[in-house]
Amino acid sequence: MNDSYYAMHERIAPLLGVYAPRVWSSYPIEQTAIQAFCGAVEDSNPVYWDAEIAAASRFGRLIAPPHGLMSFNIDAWWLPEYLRHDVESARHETAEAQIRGILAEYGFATVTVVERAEEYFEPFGPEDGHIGRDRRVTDVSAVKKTKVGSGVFLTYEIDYFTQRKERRVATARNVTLLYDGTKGDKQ
Amino acid sequence: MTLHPSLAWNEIRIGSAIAPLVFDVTYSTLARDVAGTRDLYRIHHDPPFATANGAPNIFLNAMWYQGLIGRYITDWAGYEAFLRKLNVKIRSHGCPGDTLTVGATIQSRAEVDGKLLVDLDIRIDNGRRADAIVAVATVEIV
Repeated sequence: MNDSYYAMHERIAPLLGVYAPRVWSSYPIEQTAIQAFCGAVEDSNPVYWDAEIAAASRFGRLIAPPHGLMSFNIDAWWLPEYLRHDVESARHETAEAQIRGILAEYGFATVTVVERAEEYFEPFGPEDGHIGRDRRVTDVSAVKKTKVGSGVFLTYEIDYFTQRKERRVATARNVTLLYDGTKGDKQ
Repeated sequence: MTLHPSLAWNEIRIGSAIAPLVFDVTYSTLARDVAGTRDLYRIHHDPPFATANGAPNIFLNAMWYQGLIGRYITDWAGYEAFLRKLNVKIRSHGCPGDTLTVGATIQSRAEVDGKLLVDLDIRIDNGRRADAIVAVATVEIV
């Protein structure tokens, strides 16, 4: 590891494992979002679409595809300015934001998901309100050569909770590659 | 189509393959990916941005693959099945013009704490790489 990358990891080390305050999904779990997600992959599973079949199933109600959790937690595309400030300041003050800021100083700002591992504890659906997530970065790898150039693998973990009854419904581990996309394959 | 509620436990044979699913990827697929997963990261909808960042073109995101694999599993296992674990590794991009072929092999089955669990090894071939996507899933069968 060269000296500059050593300094980068020295700055990142105390920020690893630090949870951000719980963030709630911008939107509640709702049937239209479930059906948009299913529509993207042409998933006709009736427990996501048909209230009658879903009510008669072992789930007893319409549910969301559990593997849609990451999608249902994507932040709003746009917010009016009077709502934007709180969301953005909360996001920028986290340990993860600081880590990403440090990595960006070294050019590692282009992101691609490499691996996503999820475990689902129980079904959730449109009656469960918003989804809360407790999130932390658990690892930043040494700088590695990849086919898109030099980069680091950043791992973060999330626990997911329903707003109604605050049930922990899932956990996830995400490995992302952050690299300098402006240098292409020339590195 | 996921119109059967469940799968008979004695029909689940370790080592057997699940019938493949073929999915053609077009620019419209990528548009539905953005809308359906709410992922507005430009690398998935802005071709000049994608190529400037080292990708061959805009490409499908991880959430879309999660969705496709989830569909594939419950199409096979029935709508009463519930996905318990899903691990997806992306080794090659899925771009407009690709044809994806999803396949799976049954790795194991077991009764754990009263739940009937089946482990699947899943691969997606994108026409350029047979293991473009490698996934491991555990599904609870009823």
